[in-house]
This record gives sequence, C-alpha cells and structure tokens, in this order.
Amino acid sequence: MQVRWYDGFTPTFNDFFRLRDELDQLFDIGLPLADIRSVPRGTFPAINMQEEKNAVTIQAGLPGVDPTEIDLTLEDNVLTIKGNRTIKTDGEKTSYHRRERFSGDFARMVSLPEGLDAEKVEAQYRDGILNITIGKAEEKKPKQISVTVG
Amino acid sequence: MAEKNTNVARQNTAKPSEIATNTLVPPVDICEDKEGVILYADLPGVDKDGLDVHIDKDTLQISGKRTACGTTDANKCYAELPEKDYYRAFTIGEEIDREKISARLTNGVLKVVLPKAERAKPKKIDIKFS
Repeated sequence: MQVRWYDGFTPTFNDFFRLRDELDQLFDIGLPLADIRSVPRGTFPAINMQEEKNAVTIQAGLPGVDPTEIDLTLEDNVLTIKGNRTIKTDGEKTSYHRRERFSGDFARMVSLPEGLDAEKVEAQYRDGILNITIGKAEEKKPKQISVTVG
Repeated sequence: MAEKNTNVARQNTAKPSEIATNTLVPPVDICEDKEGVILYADLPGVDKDGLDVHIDKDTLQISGKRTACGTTDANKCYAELPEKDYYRAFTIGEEIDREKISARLTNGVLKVVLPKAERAKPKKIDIKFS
C-alpha cells in the first residue's frame, strides 16, 4: 500500500487547524491577497447568491431575527438587507463564558446582475434563512431560436 | 427515522474530533447564573428533523444538518454559507443535572438549558447568634 504523508492528516490536527482559523479570524490576516470585493469573515449576514435561468436567488443567514423587522430594499439594481439583532443580556447576575454570536445593527448591500425585474421579488424566511428570489426581465431570459431550413 | 438512528450510532463510536472534519463550527453564546448554564447556537438552515443534541457522559454534542441552500448547478455569485453541516461539542461538568437538560430551536437559533443539580447551587448559610 502506498502511503502518502500529505494525504489525510490524523483527526488530532483538526483542533490545530481550528485554532489557526480562529487566530486568522481574530487578526483577519488569513488572506493577504484578498479579493477587493471580498468581505471580512464574520460579516453578518452571510449570503449565497446564484444566477439561474429565470431568476437570481439569494439566501441570507439571519438566525434569530424577527422576519418582520428585516428591511429589504431593491434600488438601482442594489439589494439592501438591513435590520437589528440585539442579543439581550440577562442582567448582572449572569456571567458569560463565550460571546461569539453577532449582536447589533446590520446592513448588507449586494449589487445584482443586470436585467432583473424589480416587480418579481419574493422573500421568505424559514429556519433562520431569508430566501429572496428576483425574477429576470422577459427580454433578458435566454431564448431558443429555431432554425428553419430554407 | 432509520437514518437518524445510524447517525446517533455513528456519533457514539466516533470521537468528536473525527466528526469535526468538514463541518462548520456554529458561533455560540454561553452564559451562567446560579440556576444553570444556558447555551445559544446560531444554526441557520437547520430544521427540527436535522438537529441532533446529544449527551454522552461528559460531552454535549450538537449536530445540525443543513437544508439545501440554493441550487447547486446554478452560476454562483456569492458563496459565504458553505454547503456543510454544523457540529460542535462541549464538555459539561458534574454539577449539571443530566436529566433536566432541555433544548429548543427557534428561527435557526438553538437554546440549550443545562440546569445545575440542587447540590451544586449556591446556598446562603444562616448564621445564628447566641
């Protein structure tokens, strides 16, 4: 059997990797050559965006946020997700061992691909994820052109 | 249901560090007062069926299976929520009453209440004057 030293560290190393990740996060020096459009780690909310055939879908991780308190606006092809997630402390008698969760105001602006129809927007909140679907304008949808034999 | 059982069986045999491979570590808040310890964990995209809170001896294990987040074949513009499941484990002390631990999942936030056993709670001692 061929043994390659780099192929699969023992699980013991995972704790070291996690420690390294946490330190990188602390100083945010993990990526010295970061993309100019990249966001620092820990940005709230984290989002996914996909461009599909007929729509653009966005998922934002907003756990524990009252869906009615989320301010969602679409203007000039820029989607803004704003809101507040304040974690209340339970008075002075409570001592905290860890405070890693985001607390406070948040705002995130995402520039969207061209050719979307601002009238075809749907947003749904479920299990801490906000799902946004923005339909494409009719003229921007891919069209099948049939070739006729002349 | 069967799938969930095998999942539990796997967790019983595997070491926490082994499961930690390829999983996301959810951020947590842990606070303590004289009644007990309360843990909050952010688990966006996890529903009741995908969540497993498990106590094995001194280890509290939290694992959450993420529901699909967007279609995979589409052109990705942003991908900050990785397609990974959540896992985090903590050791708990003797003073926690194992039988009274309760957990609740609301809007992607898990709250685990770990009450202290009666004997571990602080007591005020009356001083008698004579």
